[in-house]
Amino acid sequence: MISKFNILPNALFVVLLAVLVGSEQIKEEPLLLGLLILTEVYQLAVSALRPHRAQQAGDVTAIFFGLVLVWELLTVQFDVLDAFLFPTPERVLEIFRDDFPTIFKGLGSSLILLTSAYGLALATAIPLGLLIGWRRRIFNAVQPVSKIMSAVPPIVYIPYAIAILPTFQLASILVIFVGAFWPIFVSTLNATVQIDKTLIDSARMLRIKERRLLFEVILPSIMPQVLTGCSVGLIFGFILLASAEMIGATSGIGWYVKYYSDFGDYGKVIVGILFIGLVVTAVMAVFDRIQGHLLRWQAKYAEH
Amino acid sequence: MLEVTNITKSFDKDGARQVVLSDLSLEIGAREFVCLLGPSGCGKSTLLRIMAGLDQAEAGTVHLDDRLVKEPQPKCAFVFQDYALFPWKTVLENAVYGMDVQGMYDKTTRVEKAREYLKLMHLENYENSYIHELSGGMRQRTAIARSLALEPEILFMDEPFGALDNFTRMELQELLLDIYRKNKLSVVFVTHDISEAIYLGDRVVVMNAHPGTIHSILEINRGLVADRTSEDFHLYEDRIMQAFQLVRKQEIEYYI
Ligand SMILES: Nc1ncnc2c1ncn2[C@@H]1O[C@H](COP(=O)(O)OP(=O)(O)O)[C@@H](O)[C@H]1O
Ligand SMILES: [Mg+2]
Repeated sequence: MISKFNILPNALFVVLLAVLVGSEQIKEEPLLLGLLILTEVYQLAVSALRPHRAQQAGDVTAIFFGLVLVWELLTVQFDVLDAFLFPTPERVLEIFRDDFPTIFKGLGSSLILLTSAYGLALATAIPLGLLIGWRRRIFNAVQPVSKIMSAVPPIVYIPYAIAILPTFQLASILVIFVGAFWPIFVSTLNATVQIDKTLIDSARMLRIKERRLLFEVILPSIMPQVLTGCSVGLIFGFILLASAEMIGATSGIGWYVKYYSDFGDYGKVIVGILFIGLVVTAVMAVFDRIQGHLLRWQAKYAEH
Repeated sequence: MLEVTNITKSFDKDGARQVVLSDLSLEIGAREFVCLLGPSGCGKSTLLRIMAGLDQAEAGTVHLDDRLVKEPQPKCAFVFQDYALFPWKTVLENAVYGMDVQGMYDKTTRVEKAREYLKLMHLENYENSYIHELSGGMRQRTAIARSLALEPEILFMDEPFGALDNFTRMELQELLLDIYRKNKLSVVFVTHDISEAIYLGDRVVVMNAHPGTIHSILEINRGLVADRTSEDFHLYEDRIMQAFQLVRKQEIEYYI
């Protein structure tokens, strides 16, 4: 047990406590203290219950504590940074608490845009990639076009999409769709073209119908590459979602950041940025779980 | 049953036309075990794939029970050297899938049939394993089980034991002979291993290369080769060695 005890995060925790107790704000605002204590308890619990994860938990916590400490020292204790541009950690947590309903509602509208566009991208890019990759002639015809189209950074479509479509929602769905579509399509296409020919032969010996060949043999076999494309597509989707919202939305997480930067309310801007980071991390964690399940047949995802 | 008539096949190699099979004819009888034996690159796989309908010849025909073979036919199964299993499926799912595609039986019967053939291949304890968890020998047993589950009349096998170690190979040869005896099927078995061909086949088709043709066909008396160390076994081996020596002499003369 002793060997699993991480010195650095615990030492930083003590230092942080000392700094906070010495400052005035701690009495008015216990939020930061609460967050730090929660993190420390979590770190200690992981170290005690999951010894093999102890080192990583300790290191991550140490980095987090270190960042908070530097931030706290620069904004509160030494006050070297402009308070207008760099709000204190306590202030940020306060805004987060007070604005949570607004932010959460914004998240709702953002996720609706993202899921409809991303769902559309999945539903079109995968079947098209399979079919075109499988039909050599269409592939040869389509490849140059898709190379050029996929090379265009989708952000440049945003103003045009807003101009040609009646609502902002439709415009952002279109742009997010385009951003997510290409990585998924291209990875599906390339993997289909390069598929192991014996696998196809072994299916052909069964006199399999083309539809079943595509969806029951080729698709599962190229699933690793398809999922890599899907994860890139999802990240692109987030980037385009935020960009579109910053340009034309009246709600949503990207809008929140843009709106308050225009007012110079940088506390809210930081809250918005941190929140987006948390949301993307959470969504990617769900994605990784789904990926692990779909690829459970691969040695590296085997669950035991 | 399977009739190959005057098959010719060539491939483009570095811009030049390379004739791989030249005017080759061969007949495979019902319930016969035929080994195609020859050095690497002599066109064994090409011939087997044409027989199975996976590839087309430029000239000549293949008939299966008087049907012209242009694509894979019903009641035929193929075992590949590198197994060609579906790694995203478990052993049992792999064995079930072929029957599913061919619309054989109902769901429960398919699983029963698959279990039956997996048991025959000593895989009953690995039903739920994924392919990456299996050794090479177990993978090939899975591939054989899924082929047998289709109850084929012809089983095509392309160097199925080529990638396995000696012990596993001999064990699988026994298993295959066992199944061949119990089931009413023909086997067309490609190998470059002389003693494997003698041990398994009713007939050994000795092929020579460039272009691939049949050098000679050797009838094997099964009663004489059950023991691989017997005098008779060695006699068969000698005869095949001589055949290959002849092939070599011809090539040398050709080069001079
Ligand atoms: N799809 C193909 N394209 C081009 N050449 C091929 C192809 N398949 C086989 N060949 C050539 O045909 C010859 C015979 O191949 P193969 O039938 O695989 O021989 P074997 O199975 O007896 O080793 C080899 O020289 C090989 O390079
Ligand atoms: Mg071969």
